[in-house]
Amino acid sequence: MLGTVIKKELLEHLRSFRFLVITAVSLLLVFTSILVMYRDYESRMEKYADLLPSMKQNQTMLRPASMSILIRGMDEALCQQVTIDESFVSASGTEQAYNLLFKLFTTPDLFYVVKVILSLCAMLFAFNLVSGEKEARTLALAVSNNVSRSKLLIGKWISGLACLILSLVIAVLITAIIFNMSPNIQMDAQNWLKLAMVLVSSVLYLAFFFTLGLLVSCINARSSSALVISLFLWVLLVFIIPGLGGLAASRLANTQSAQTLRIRQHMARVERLQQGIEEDGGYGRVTDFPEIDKQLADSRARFERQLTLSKAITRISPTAVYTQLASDFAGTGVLERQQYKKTILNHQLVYKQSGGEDGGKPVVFTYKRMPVAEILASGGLVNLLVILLQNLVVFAAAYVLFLRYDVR
Amino acid sequence: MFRSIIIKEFFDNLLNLRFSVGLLVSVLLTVACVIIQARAHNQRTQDYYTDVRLQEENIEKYGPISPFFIERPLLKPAALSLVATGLTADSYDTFDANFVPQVFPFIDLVFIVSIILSLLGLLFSYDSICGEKENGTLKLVCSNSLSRATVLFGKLLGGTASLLIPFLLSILCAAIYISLDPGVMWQPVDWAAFGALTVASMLFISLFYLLGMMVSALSKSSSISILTAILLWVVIVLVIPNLGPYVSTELYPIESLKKVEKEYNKYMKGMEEGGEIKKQMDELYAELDRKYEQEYGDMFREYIAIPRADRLKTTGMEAPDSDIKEMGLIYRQEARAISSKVMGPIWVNMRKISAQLKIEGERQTEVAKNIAAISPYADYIYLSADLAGTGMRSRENIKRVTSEYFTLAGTFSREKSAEKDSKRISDWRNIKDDPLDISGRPRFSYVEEPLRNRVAASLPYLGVLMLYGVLFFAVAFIGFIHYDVR
Repeated sequence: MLGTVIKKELLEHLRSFRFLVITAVSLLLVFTSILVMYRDYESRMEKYADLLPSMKQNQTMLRPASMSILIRGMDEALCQQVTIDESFVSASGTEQAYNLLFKLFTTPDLFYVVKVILSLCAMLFAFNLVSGEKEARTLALAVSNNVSRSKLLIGKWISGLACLILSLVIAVLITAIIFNMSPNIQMDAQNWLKLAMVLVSSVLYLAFFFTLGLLVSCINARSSSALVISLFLWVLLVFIIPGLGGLAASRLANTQSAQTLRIRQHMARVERLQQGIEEDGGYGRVTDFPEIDKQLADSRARFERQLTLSKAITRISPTAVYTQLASDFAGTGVLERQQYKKTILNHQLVYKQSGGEDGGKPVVFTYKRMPVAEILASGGLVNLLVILLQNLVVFAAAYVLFLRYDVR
Repeated sequence: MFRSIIIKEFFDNLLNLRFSVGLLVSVLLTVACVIIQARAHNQRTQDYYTDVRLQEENIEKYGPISPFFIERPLLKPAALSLVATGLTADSYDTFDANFVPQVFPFIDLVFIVSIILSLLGLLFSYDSICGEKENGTLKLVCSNSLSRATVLFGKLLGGTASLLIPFLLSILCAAIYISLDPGVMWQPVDWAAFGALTVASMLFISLFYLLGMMVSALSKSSSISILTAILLWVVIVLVIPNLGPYVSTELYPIESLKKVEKEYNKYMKGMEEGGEIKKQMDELYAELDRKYEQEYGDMFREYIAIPRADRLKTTGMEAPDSDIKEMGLIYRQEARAISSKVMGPIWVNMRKISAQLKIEGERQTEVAKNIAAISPYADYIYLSADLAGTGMRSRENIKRVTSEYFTLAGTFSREKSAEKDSKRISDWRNIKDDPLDISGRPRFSYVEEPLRNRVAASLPYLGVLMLYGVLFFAVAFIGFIHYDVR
């Protein structure tokens, strides 16, 4: 009987205007975003290849991540040319910093399309699956047969979800083939694994919104109120919780603005230099700035706290969980950037202590992007479990509500 | 009859679920957002005043006896930045950047209006025509002695009035909180700017109501209408503005950043052992040494024997006058001339590329801005940022004021150098016992441009929004004239 339900639902979806529009929009947006991001990746690779030969011993630059085509994240900032000196570390600057518009608007990568647009599509797909059928008076007919309500719901869920993610899966598979053929992109085992993990996270994410839409559909008899509630929940989960959570965390962690940090470091430097002159007549060179080190340590600690708080507060929304999952697997997110920064600072310490030499050979900086296993161990698995749990909760609620639904 | 249409539409919307949900979300979200943003704003303002005071003390103490007597520009947070963040966020790409706002984007009042209230507008009006047809009441209304234009216009007025209630209530709550918060000290000009922003927001929200009505007048059923309306919303709000900057990078790519980095790397490499530049300078230095050896003989050899770090003990201002000091000073001057001769062209080249970089950046920004301006959402973002003083206009003004300040600062620095008989100011040890008089030093101050200029600058964007309004209404009108109301 489940098979019949699924077949019926599938045929109904495939012939609906809604499916047509949503699939067409998804495919169009996904391909556009990949095209645009591919051009961006190409130009960043060009710059990388151009700059690499001219770099000095104490400079380092990461190769742009292939996965940044799908999830750009902070890849441009990660792939800057970094100069590591005894007393400072500096980055050379990104191209996007010169175009102010990048600050006003968001990156239209695949991640954004899935996070915002496809989740909306998922809810629009599902919001009247039950209430719409009740309004069409066919739900009572279906339930009055010997089809258990649970089979009916599961059938609706499976067929709806399949239709929804069909377009996403097709698009990603085609782009995987394109990636494989392109000379610019290295697709080694790790990258394939990362792509698979990103696809899994995206499917889980969309499944959540689809199930949530189904849940909303089982609340009320009227489709129009289901629509209002669906849109409200979408806005709440995708924009409000991550946004307010981020704001609240910044206040709780009490981080200071870049202007304040810069000026206080400058003043500490002036004081230290003056101290240096008074100590030895100023004929030596001052190389240590303990006050600046203290300020840097303090600002880094506050930043860590803001990051931890933001992640914790926003975790209730699957959008925030998906953001972390997708960008961490792609190697363009918070995890990678923190790891990179830590490695650089450690290298700077070693460089300072050993004076640039280690058994006669110069201390060289190497860094490899985190492999999937390490990402999973550093919170990736936890996030996957959280989003799975959120899916289960919503499905259970939808199930219970449907069992009690008045189908007349 | 026209009035009754307005009143009917108004109350219809008021008694609907969407109104209550919209009102609740809008008010609660605005209040929560304004409270947190206000606290952040107060903290930043407090930090600013502390920084100004600390810098003043620092310069009073160390300025007269060090090279550090020019104050660094400090910017006060714009009063309306708590309502419209615009471009005021710190940059995300420095090594120690706080990138949390990039990963967890903050929301402000402009965000609430542009994303949430625009969606609410669509929600209010997507079934204003086709929904009534499905109810069977549209044919009843049209069978009266009313022109279709009157019906449409009445629906527009009544619906927009009901839509603006949640918005105005939220603004009221926000205004009450801001006026009660002791840390946020808005001047009358700030309140006026806030008023202008409110008016512009009302126009923007009404535009989306019109959009929904237009789609409704062109659709046969509500489900088609809502799908189409949301699709259009996605294109206007999510697709076009975000694609704009990327299209501009295709049209006007920035090549110079790469060049700047390569030139800098070349220079750094050249200065290393065995590098081109160092070899060239070493040769010229060797030549200079040979010349002095010939001319001064033993005295020069004695001078050269002193380790470089200790040479200032012989040639510094405090050292006793002697022949070796005189020779040492001329030697140093000639050595400096050599380094200027070699380094000069390199610096000139880098300055040229940097200037080119700036021009390319500005050109790309302008193109991106114009492409994105196709979308009314982008126009609203620009005009709200400009009214609040956190947009591209104020960035330009700050850049201009800052560069004027640095010109004055440079002049002042050179004057102080001249006072010390051209002994270099950067040599601290020279001026320790003979402090400078820095009382006439230039001061940095930036004041936001007058409101009337900001409003004038935002008029083109308002014009575009109104043009879209007229377009949507025209299409809705044509659609409704042909609409089958049975």
